[in-house]
Amino acid sequence: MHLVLRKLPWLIGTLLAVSFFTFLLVSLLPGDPAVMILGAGGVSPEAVAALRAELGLDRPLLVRYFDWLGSALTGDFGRSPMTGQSVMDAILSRLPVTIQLGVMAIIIALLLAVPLAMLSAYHAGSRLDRAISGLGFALMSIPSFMMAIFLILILAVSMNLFPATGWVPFSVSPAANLRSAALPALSLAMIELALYMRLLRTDLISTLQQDYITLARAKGVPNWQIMLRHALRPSSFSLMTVVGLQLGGVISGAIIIEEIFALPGVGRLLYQSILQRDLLMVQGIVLFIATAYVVVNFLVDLSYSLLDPRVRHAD
Amino acid sequence: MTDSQHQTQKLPLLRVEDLTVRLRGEAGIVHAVSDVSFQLQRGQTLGIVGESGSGKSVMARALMGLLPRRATQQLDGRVSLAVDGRVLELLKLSEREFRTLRGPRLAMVFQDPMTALNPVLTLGVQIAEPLQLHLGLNKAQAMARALELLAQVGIPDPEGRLRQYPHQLSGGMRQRVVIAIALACDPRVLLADEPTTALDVTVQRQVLDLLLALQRERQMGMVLITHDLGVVANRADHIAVMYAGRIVEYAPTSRLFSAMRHPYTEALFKSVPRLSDPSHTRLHAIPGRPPQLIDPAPGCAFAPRCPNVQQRCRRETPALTQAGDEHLHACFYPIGSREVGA
Repeated sequence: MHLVLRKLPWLIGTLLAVSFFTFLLVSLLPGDPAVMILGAGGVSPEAVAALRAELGLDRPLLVRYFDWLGSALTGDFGRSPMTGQSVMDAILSRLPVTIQLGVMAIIIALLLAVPLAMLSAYHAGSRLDRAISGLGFALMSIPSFMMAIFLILILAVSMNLFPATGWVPFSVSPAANLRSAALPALSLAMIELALYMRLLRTDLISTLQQDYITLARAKGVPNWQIMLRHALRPSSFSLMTVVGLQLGGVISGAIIIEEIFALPGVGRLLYQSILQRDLLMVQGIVLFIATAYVVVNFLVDLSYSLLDPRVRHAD
Repeated sequence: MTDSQHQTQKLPLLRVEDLTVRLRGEAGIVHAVSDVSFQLQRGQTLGIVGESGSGKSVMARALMGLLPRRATQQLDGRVSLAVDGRVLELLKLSEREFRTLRGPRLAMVFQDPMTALNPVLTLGVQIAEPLQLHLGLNKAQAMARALELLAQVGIPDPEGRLRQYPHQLSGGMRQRVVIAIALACDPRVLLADEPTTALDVTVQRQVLDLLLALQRERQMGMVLITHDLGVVANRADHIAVMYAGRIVEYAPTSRLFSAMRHPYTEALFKSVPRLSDPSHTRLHAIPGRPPQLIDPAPGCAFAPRCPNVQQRCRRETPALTQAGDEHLHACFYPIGSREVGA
């Protein structure tokens, strides 16, 4: 618990900074939001000024920031001037899709990456190791949208195993929901998989050279048990960090994939809001993404103490 | 040795014959161990002494079957272990068969207790593991046994320690835990590879005495590997001096100290500081550098540093020859022979 108290001020400070820069980012963009909303040509300056006053754009920057922050703290990010929808409601209604997608992708990636990395590290330098590393490189160099198109072609169009696009909510049909999420999650997972594999393989190889691994062998522990019990946990710090980063970044990571598969997620909402110059919506989503990122990483920091007793006792 | 002599002599617990290990290193093939032979009886301690890089640790790992498979270029010779009236040829065993021996038959104490324990597992788990694995104890039984072991190796408050992690213990305490792990399954042969080198001087003696006491109590055969003649002087029954991967002198301990024959043994002996020396006595260092084990030059490996070196030493490698009862040395011009200085 000490750890939490010690890190909490940092968390709050970071979140404040993040919110300020998010606010600044959108405010500093060229172009007047009021002009954008009203349309560029043939609008009277009076109409623009009236809208600016209505949006509060005529007040000083800092005042506007604290005003915005105050409402944001109560969960009010304002209303989209385009659709009239509450920004928070829009995000919350789409969030489950994105979270499910991201979590599924990370689970698939971990389920494949951990055994492959262990196999690779155990046989480091062998042909098998090189084959697995080669596969990793190939997967890493394919952009996610290409991967998505490949997977659609093979698994949806040719083999007809999964739907090519669309989304079935979990509440409607769990089975159909998983089927509709499978391909997008797989597309995201393939790239994460390669990254996880490389990280874990490298750390495992250096762990396997530790004296305590030799001691475990000297105790007569079977090799698979050495990998699972003695080597995996001390080797998973980098992996944990990156999984945390990716979990925080699922929304931005899913932008393209959600668009390709026409999934009603936050990523697609952001993409469409950018296209429509819906600045308030963009601002809300960016702050949401950034907050998720910071909070998840805070949790990852805390989880190190579960992995390593030395961190736990550092107080 | 005649047949009758052979029969009267006890079957050795561990017999090593012409053990040769070559490893693939980055700079070439390392001739780590060459033609090493020795025997170890039950209840006896063999001290193996040599500088770092003399092949002691590689030899220990070869005996434990722990050499890195991919880096091993050559592993020849015979290692016979007497177990329950049978003799096992260790180098012929499969990895799976060898694994069942590690723990209950052969065990090892490592040099550095700071790195030999897994940082993320509790001490209890690490001691209990071989007990569950080899003796089929369940978790509770194994933990109870781990508690006894911790008490036996002299760790205060063993109950509290079981749930602790390695970083919560001092180096000396950790080495006691490493010893407890090694002894868990009551091994017949204990290989102690520089067991006190990484410890504070004040703790070294305690740990050595503990090892010796446990060895006597359990009648294990122990191979005590060290770079320090002083460590084995009062503790080993026999001493083998290793240089450049070979045994260059072998004798019962008292005989070695009273009548050492190999110039390297003498140099090692002189390099041990003595409290009886007047203060500010210059420490005797062996001139030159330890030998190169990659593509070794022909001749005696000690020739470049040897005070008694002759022409022949640079051409031929001296074989280990008998110099009296149980006393062997590998030198053409040993200390006390007439040719020296001729």
